[in-house]
Amino acid sequence: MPDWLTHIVIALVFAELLDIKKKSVVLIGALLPDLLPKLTLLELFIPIPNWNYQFLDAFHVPFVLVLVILLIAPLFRYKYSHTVTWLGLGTLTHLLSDTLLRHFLGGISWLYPFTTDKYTLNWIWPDQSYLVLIPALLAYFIIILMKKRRKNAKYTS
Amino acid sequence: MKIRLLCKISYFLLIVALLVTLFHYNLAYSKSFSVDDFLDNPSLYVGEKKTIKGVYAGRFEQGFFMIKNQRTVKVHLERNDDVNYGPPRYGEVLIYGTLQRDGSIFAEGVHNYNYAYISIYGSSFLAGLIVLFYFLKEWKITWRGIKRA
Repeated sequence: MPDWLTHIVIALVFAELLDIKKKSVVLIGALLPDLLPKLTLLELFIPIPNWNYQFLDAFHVPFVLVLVILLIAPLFRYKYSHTVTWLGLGTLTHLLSDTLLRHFLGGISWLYPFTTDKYTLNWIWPDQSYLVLIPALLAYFIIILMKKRRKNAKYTS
Repeated sequence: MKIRLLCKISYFLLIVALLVTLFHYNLAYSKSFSVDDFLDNPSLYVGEKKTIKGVYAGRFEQGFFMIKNQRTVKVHLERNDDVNYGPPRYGEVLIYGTLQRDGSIFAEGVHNYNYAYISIYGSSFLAGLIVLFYFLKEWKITWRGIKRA
């Protein structure tokens, strides 16, 4: 995974570009694929029981995430289709940026359940995600600036 | 009334689909692996190639130790790598290698996650706070679901 900061900045770029009202839903979508699989990081602080945690990895699979999004969307008292689309957009940005990552083994199971193959572009190591974060931050600030300018131009005209 | 029933049935079917998928996923990737299992019974895994991420725990001649889930794993390096290898700075180490009968690993690839404690975990914590801020600004949690603030 790139760090969550990279994930949410990318999600914010898309949320701003598409003028989404409830940006937090896109951001939650952007973190959704990591929420359960990364629970095993607890092992850095405490020993965790030796169970099979493979099912947690399933929550990083696009097909499973579609099901999860359809299930959790009704929690939001908002238009169901909008919530699903926004959560989906966030999740899609997460999975696409994870596809850039370099691994010795692994990747994203884009075509599960049709195949168990995992796909990755093997471009950057997770600790080099600043290579994505910096351009994403620049893009975000440019979009915000352009939006502000357009708004100001509207008021003055 | 009918629409409500239909919604409930659809929701139930989605839950069933998720459970079936999780079950299938576990079967499809049936070779689950944990370092604990390997260290408890290394002979079962001899020759398998695995990737493991852990905390660097010091050198020995031609290799280093790493800690995974509070247990120590011995990692052998190839002679060429051994000369060049330096420990990770404020981060973990990722290895790809072949599991050995004595509970050690012969590494074929090593990557240091330098500064990962800050660049990955620290910034992820910050990101979590940002999302929480956006969420609380836009929504409020009630017994009947999450409503617009």
